[in-house]
Parts: sequence; C-alpha cells; structure tokens
Amino acid sequence: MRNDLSVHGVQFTRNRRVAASATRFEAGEPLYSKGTYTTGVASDNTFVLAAEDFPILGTHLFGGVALKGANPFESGTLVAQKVQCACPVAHSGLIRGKVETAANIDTAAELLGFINDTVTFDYNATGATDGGELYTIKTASDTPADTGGLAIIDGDIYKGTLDVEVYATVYRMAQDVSA
Amino acid sequence: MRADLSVHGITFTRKRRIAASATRFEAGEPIHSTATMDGSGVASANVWTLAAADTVVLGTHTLGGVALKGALPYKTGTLVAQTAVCACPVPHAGLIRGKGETLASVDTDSEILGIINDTTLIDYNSTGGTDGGELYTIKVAASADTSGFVVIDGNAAKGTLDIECYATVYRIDQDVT
Repeated sequence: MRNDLSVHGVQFTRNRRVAASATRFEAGEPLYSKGTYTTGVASDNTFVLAAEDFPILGTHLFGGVALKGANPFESGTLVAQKVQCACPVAHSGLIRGKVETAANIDTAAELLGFINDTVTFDYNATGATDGGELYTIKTASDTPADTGGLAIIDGDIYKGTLDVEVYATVYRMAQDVSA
Repeated sequence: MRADLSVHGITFTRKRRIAASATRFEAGEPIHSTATMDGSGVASANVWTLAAADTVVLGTHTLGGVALKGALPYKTGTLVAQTAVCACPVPHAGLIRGKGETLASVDTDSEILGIINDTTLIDYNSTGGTDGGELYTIKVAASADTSGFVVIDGNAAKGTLDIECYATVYRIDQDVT
C-alpha cells in the first residue's frame, strides 16, 4: 500500500526498468528482481513489485522503494517505464516500516530482543486497507532465517515501526556465487 | 586515456600509493592491484598500478578507483613514487560512467535494456586511445559471474554505460570463504 515503507539516512536513487503489463505499484512499495546469472548474463533485466516475503540473499535482488506510483496512474495496464526508487546505502541507510505483528514490539524489552536479528519484509497480497498489497517488516519470531537480507537496527514501540538496514549483497543478483 | 571514466553519485576518495617507475596514468583512468594475501593477512603488494587488464575480476583484482589527476612528473619522464588521489564509488551506490566498448551494441534503448543487471568489466585496450595510449571502456557483453561490476543504465545517444561495483571489489583476495 502507498507509503508502507520509507527510506531514511544515507541513500541513493536508481531508475529501475519495469516491463509493460507488470503488476501495479505505489510509492512506498518495494521492487525486486529474481534473476540469475549465466556467465554474467542476467536472466532478468527488469524489476517488479515484490510478491513474496523478501529479500532472501541468493534469491532476490532488491530494487529499492518506489518513489512514485506506476504509469498510467490509478488504473489501466502498465506501460513499460522507469521508476525512480530510493535505495539505502548498505549498512548505512535505513528502511522504516510497520512491524508485521505490533504486539511483538510494544515494549522496549521486546524490541531489544530483536535488535541485530536478520529479517525480511512481509508480503500480504490483500492486507492493506485499500484491499491491495501490504508490506510490513517481520520480526525473528515470525521467520527466523540467517539468509534474510535485512537487519533490525531499532524501532518505535509506540508507533509499531522498525528500522532495518540492508546487507550489501541484497543489491547483487545471485549473490551467493563463490567468488 | 584521459577522462575515459568518471565517478558519479555517492563517492569517496583514497590516496593510493604508486611505486617509482610505474606505468604512467592519466586522470580518468582506473587504478587497481593484483596483490594477494599470504594466508596470514599480509598483502603481496602495497602499491597500485594503472590497470593493464580487463578489470575488476573478483578474486583477482582490487579496485583502487579512478585517478583524479595525472601522474608525476607531468607529460613525460619516469614516474616518481607518489600518491594518486582516486575517486571510488560506494559499492552498490555510486556509479562509474564510461563509453560502451562496442558503441553499436548500446545505441538503442532496447539494447541497453538487454544488458541491465549483467555483470561487466572495464575493458582494457593498450593502444586504443586516440593519443595512442590506453583506452578504457565498459564491456557490453558479459563473460563471467565473477566480474566486479553490474550494468545499471546507459545513454543510447552518447554510447555510455553506468555501472556500479560490488562491495568485494575493494578487498584483496575477496574470494576467501
């Protein structure tokens, strides 16, 4: 949903290519790619609205958080376009979003227990108040996995938000190559 | 050749040590190292040189950055030992911009789209510059997963490509496991 996620601190922007007829996205929603390499050639040159919990290192390439909604606006089949995305610098900038389960971090002690944990964004296809996609941030009690591409840095127990940083390899497709 | 490459966006600078009698470099040319670690963390070389190969191959080359000024002494003569200020893009954030190696391969937007997210290298041509010296461009055909750059975008009218570097291009022997 619009404004689910925002980027703070040290960041850069990238114009990500989105193919015609792709799924509609709104400002504040995350884009990704799931391509792989064959002798350096990427199997996917475009980005799409994330449609699962992500980023998983080795599986997802993070494209950033969209800064504007898709064209054409409101409705209609998407045209091929470039969308400007905000990307936090790895291990420096932050992404802020609501926690998936607010009751998990509504005390300082609970929040402390999640700091430095690796997590992912949670994808809920119809969880938003407008009936569309809802993106939140999981806590380790939801999805414990070392391969999550985000690390919890801090949060706000009153607002139910988490600040996460991204690992450097979220920006690398098929980043678990041995070299 | 002078101004072959430039660095854009989030950038830092490093003073790289250059040995006396090293190969002459110009502003806009890439500096790298082929040093290795000895197993105890000691680097086999402490200085940097003008790239004389397609670079950066992860595990083989370490990126020193793009030189911001030419070597000393200027114009001619054997180089003295010096420090070269180099512009370095922040991994996965800043960009290096250069001409595509084969302009005909990036002169339409659909061609550029076809190589986005591909890994790539800075191409080295020892005598390709219009001054008869080195020419550095961006390869337009991926060759290996271990290449240290990825194509982000380009300009079909100018024949340039923008690439970002992987975090490990700055680490000697970065394929340690």
